[in-house]
Amino acid sequence: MCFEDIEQHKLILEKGKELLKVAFDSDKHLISEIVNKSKNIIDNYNTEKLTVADVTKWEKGTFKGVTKTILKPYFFKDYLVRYEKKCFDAGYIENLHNSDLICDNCKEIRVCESEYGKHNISFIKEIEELCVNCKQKAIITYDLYEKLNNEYDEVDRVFKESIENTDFSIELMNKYILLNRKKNDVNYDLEKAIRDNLRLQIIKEYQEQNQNLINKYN
Amino acid sequence: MEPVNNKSMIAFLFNQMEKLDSGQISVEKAKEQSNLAKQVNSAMKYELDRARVKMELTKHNAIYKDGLDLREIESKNY
Repeated sequence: MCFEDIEQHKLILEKGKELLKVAFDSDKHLISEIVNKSKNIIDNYNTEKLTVADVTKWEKGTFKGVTKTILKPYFFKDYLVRYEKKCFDAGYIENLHNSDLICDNCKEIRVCESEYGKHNISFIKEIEELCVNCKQKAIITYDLYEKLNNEYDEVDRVFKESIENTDFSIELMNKYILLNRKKNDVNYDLEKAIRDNLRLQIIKEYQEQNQNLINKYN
Repeated sequence: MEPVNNKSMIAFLFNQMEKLDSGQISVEKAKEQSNLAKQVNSAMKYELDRARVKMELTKHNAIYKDGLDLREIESKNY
């Protein structure tokens, strides 16, 4: 089966599905037979050539999503850990009221009710109501936190952009999609081995094309 | 033994999936083959990590004017 024939079968499949929507009931059986025949031929071609001739938009989108899920922890994990540590050192704004940065006079105790009973929870007062010392400390913490947040957003943006600009090979994408189509409970271990291998190939292709970026954030 | 590259290994594994689905091989056999494939994946992961360390070393050497090098532990002279 050559590639041109497959293109023709794809066309038959596409037009056949449209035709099925408007066909008479008496003709539907005949059209279904033609559509199924083309579908089987495409499926066999996919299996034989280890490819996916009829990739859908949804599948392409899924592959893009998968690349992001794989690459972010692999290449930016160190950066993210460092970022979290910086935030912790700076004092999370959410935990500011629990820290020693704010004096007791600037904290406000409110009684909150929940299904387990009443609790006293300490809140930090509005920034304008804080004493001079605490206000200064809070402003520094807020600024630092905002700066770190912006840094993180910038890395995230650059990283997403770099994935969009990376040319992952079509062969790799087709294999990933083929695997997704074939997965079932019986061949779980084989599927996992292939998935791991494709994951490493995705990492390899990204690493080859984005060396400067990886170096910058490590 | 035939030389194997990544492409041929993936083709082999896909083939095994087909055979497993059609009952030509047992689940146990497929499990053993996937375990072997995992070993090959580990070798690939090693290569990737090595490439990454080399990239980092190049950066380090450029910044600190150092001459650190990653040893070829698998070369014949080692």
